[in-house]
Amino acid sequence: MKSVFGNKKSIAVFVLPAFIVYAIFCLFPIGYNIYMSFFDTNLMEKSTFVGLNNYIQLAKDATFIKSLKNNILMVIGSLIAHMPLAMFFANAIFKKIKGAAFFQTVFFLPSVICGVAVGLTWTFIYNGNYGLLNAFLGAIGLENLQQVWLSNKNLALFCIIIVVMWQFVGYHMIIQLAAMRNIDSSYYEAASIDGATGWQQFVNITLPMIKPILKIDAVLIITGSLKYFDLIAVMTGGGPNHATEVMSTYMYYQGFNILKYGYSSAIGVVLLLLCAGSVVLSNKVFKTDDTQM
Amino acid sequence: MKKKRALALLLTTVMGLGLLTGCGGSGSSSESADSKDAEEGKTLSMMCIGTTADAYMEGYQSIIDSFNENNEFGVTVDAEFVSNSDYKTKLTTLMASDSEPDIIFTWELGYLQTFVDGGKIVDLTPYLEEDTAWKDSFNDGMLDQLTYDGKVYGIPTQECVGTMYYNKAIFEENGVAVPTTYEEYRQVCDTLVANGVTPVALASTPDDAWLVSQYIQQLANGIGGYEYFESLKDGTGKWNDDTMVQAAKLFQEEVEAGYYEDGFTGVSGTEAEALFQSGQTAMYYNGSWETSNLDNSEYCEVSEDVSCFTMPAVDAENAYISMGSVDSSYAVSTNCKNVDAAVGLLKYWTNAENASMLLYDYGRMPSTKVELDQSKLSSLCIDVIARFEEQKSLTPWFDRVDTNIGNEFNNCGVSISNGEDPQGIYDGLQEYAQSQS
Repeated sequence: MKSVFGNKKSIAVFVLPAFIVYAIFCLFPIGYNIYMSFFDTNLMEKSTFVGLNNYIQLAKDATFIKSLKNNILMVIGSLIAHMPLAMFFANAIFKKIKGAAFFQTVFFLPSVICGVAVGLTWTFIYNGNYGLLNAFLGAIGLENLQQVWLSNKNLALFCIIIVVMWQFVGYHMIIQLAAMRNIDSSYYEAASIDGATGWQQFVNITLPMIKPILKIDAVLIITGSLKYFDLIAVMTGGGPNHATEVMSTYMYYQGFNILKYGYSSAIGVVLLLLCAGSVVLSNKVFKTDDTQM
Repeated sequence: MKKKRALALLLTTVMGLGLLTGCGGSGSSSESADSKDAEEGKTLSMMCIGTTADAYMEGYQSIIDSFNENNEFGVTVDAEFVSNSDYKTKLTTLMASDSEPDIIFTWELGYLQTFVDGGKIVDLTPYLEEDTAWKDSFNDGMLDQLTYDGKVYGIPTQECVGTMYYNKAIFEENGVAVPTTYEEYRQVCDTLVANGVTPVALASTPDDAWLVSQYIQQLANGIGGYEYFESLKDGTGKWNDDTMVQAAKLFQEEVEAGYYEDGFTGVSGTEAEALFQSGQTAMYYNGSWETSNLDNSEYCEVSEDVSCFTMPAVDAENAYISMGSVDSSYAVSTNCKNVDAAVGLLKYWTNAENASMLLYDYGRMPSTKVELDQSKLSSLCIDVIARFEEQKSLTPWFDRVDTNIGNEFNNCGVSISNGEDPQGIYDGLQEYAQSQS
């Protein structure tokens, strides 16, 4: 065995198939996308090289800036729900509260449902005429709060963020729970002998021990909410009048609706840079001493 | 150790999933099925607009079926029906990846122009010149909307006009008559509201934004006349002109007065139409293409009572300037291996027999001269034809004139129906339009 894996060539043979697939479906499209972002093209007529013009236009494009802001709100919302809240749930289940296994399944369930189905379900919940939310508000005597939720430009985005929070809280809970279960129980035994309270144990043992996982989780959360697409496409299509547009839906709109593929590629590049930036950032924030593990 | 391995496995799976979903951006579709037949030009693919909620789909399919059974080219046409809201993105995706169907549904003016400029559409002028009887069968001016640089690139199979459908029974019960001026129209609506009847069904979800905007455009026609439309079309007019702002304000007044169903901003196009079809509203504004869905008792419970009138102009001197254009046009793509057969299908589609079948059975208004047999026409069809005849001029939808700015104009409609200040909204649109030129 040792001789097989010691040989660089045989390693290459094993890695190659996966790498080829990765190159075709990821690396090449990314490269081509960057190349296209310097052109003004609808992919039919001759394309014209415009240099950085697409990026200059983006900086002036009010709708793009709006979508960037919306993305930032999405990131903030997701971070709140998927870090502290998910950690709270994970810790509760980790501490084996009554019905832990049941709650674990219930919380995780929404994240296995396909985004389109979740979007449609919540569209019905938010519906102005027969929606569950309005019916609930009516039942508790808050008729004056009833409205067409997804058509209100000030509320629509928050309505969507709540769904994103709900959908993925269980997913991140499971990741963090797995990390917690990986901690050696002797630490806790020693801590309780020393008389540490539950909170002290959490802050001094659990948190530092799951930090490396939190780093990966933060990257997943931030990149996930930067490139979020399906739920918004289903629930509002970026409307009303671009109020819930995020970068990915605006990219789609510019490309497939009005055929400005070069411009749309430039949005894609900005998205890529932001995702890459978020990886660097979370590495900085969750700087860990690897010897701890 | 075991736990560690389980954790590693979990994280790998998670990252693997992230990788898969992360690269979903650049999809391309390829059509490999029947590629051999298509190569030989024996199978022609076609993409039309229609869903099972559209009565006419059956009529379209029957034309295609009978063409397939017996045609001199020995080809089979394979048609796919796509919903209106999905059609545009579907076609542009196919076009961009060079895998568009042989025969495509298209809108006129700016919409088709993009594809014509991109060299994706076959010039049909030679076929029309060759068969002048076919060319002359079209109503005057029908082909102009699909003519670029003097060449015809698309064949319209219908024409359309925006009309206000109304329910005769509801009008009678409430003692109101068809309005002839805008003031009268408001009085009719006010009476209906006072009697507890919702006057008009309207949709305003982002996907159906055009339904609001076409009505605002209709009101603007009545204020600024055809000249205003022309000026916007050629770029000399302004979107934030008083005309447009006033039209939007009138619309907001109507919303305030309760002319539209509760929560219409969250109602989709099909839902709004269903309200009228089930007799829950007295009126419904849309293009004459809806005739087929309102004239058919299978689709419309109140089909016996439906009639229509031309929306009265705000300013009487601009009366009978309505939304309208050619409709259900088809173009042949340069990918098509058998253009003769594709043109053959379009000729067959627009021949007198099929055009009258579509008119009598499905209320589709033909773009060609058809000798009318009054006895076969439904009363609604007779009314709709009368609406065509009384128009002075027709203004096409802005999203057909220019897809990009027209789309934004439609989006603005959603903001207007949500009560935002029209001046601010149209200032933004004007700015956008200028940035695009």
